Amino acid sequence: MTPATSNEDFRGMLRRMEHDGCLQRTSKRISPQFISALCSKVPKAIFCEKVDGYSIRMVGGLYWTRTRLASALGWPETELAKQFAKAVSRPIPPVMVNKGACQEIVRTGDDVDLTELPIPFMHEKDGGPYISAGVAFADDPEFGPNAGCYRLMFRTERELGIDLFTASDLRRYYSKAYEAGKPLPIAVAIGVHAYEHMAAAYKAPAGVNEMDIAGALRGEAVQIVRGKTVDVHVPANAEIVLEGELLPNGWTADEGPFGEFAGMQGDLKKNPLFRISAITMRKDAIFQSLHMPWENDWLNGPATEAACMRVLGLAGVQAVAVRATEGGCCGWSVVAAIKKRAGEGKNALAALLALPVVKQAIVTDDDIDIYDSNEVEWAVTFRCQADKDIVILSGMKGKHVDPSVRPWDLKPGELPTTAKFGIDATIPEGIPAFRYERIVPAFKDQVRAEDYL
Amino acid sequence: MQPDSKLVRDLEEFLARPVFFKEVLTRFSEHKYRAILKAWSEIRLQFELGRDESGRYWIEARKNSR
Repeated sequence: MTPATSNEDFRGMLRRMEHDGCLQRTSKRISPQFISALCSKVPKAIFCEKVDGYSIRMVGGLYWTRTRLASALGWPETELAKQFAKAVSRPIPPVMVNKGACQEIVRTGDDVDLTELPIPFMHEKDGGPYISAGVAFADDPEFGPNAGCYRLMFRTERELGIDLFTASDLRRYYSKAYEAGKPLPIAVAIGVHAYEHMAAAYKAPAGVNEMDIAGALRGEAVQIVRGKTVDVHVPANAEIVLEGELLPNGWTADEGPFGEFAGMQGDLKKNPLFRISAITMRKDAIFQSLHMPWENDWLNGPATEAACMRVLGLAGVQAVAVRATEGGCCGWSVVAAIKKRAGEGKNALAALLALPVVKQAIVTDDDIDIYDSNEVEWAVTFRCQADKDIVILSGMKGKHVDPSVRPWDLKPGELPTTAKFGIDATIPEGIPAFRYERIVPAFKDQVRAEDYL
Repeated sequence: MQPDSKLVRDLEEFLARPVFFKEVLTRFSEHKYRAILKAWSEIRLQFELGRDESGRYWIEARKNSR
């Protein structure tokens, strides 16, 4: 992967991804309702230079795979968790600048028209076109600035629905404003670098500014600029910024359904409204669309893997690698390779399953390449006795989005519980390692394929 | 860009029965995507829309004022 350059913007990231073979440009005209299907059929991220009826270009599928996310970040694929964990421990606060490229074009008042943006219709049963790659910025006198990822449904040329259904910092900020009967000023940036996007997707503790984390991911301060109509700061080189207010209407406006991060069509919800006071953008702006579930999942994957490394460390287990698997939506299912001492296979499982997001876990020895599913399956097959090495924990904290917890049977406000399981696929105590000696083709080091083909 | 008034009327008529948003795009596919969104915006401004559990829309009532 090509490393990122200093103060790299979204466009610089796209150029690098193209250089890495992770992004493909097309100059054929496409309508926004087809971008989601196109991204699902092309093995690279797609940069659409001509969007039918729009002057703004579109890009989609940037974080569809681990490889593409690694390219966007400029990090080796196997280093994502380590780099993320390092960044979280050494935040770098953002720096204010007076002028930002994101404000090269400013639309306010009657000139505000969301239909100027190629907001795509993404999934068959969605309630409308969605802005899926928006990073919302808000400020609070008690907790300070905050950034997070929230989906936005197109309603009118100046109004969007925003999903604030589940607990989040922005929901906390909004609830305070709502109880006071006041609107909450926010700004939403579209087309920010993967560093800012991943930091915003990370559920940092209240009071921690996600842009401090983004700075640490970059290795230098994020440049931010004040909004034109709201006192909220956004990344200065974002492609597009929507400024406005979350209206104090509470959870009353229809929003959704939308194809959710767990890969299933979500429910129709009641949510607040976001009224737009300004649209600012760069010249020749690029609109990013984020495609569910994989792009959303991969943005969270490194944070989950970093959390796994952290809890394993707290449990006194030496973790060599952790992988949040794609089928488990990069969080619900994890595989960890450890340098095991007696009993630590089970200790590791107990630690991993204690994380709220993790529903199933596999622990292997450090000789297993956990990025190879066949290797993991081999370890489960030959190092696990089902009656001794599978751990099941019942009655743990669950999530509404998981249909297997039957959330529809819950009373209003009741939280779901779930069962979790872990597989200890480390060499069982008492079995000598030589029993697992792997076969090696004879003369493997001497034979070169090109000499015979 | 102003909404296409005929498209708005046709959309109003189409929303007399419950439809998914995708059906709106399919029914009016001869129009540009942006024109459909403009018309949709106008419908949202003029009418209260009903929703069923699966997410389908229909026009419930005309709003009293803009």
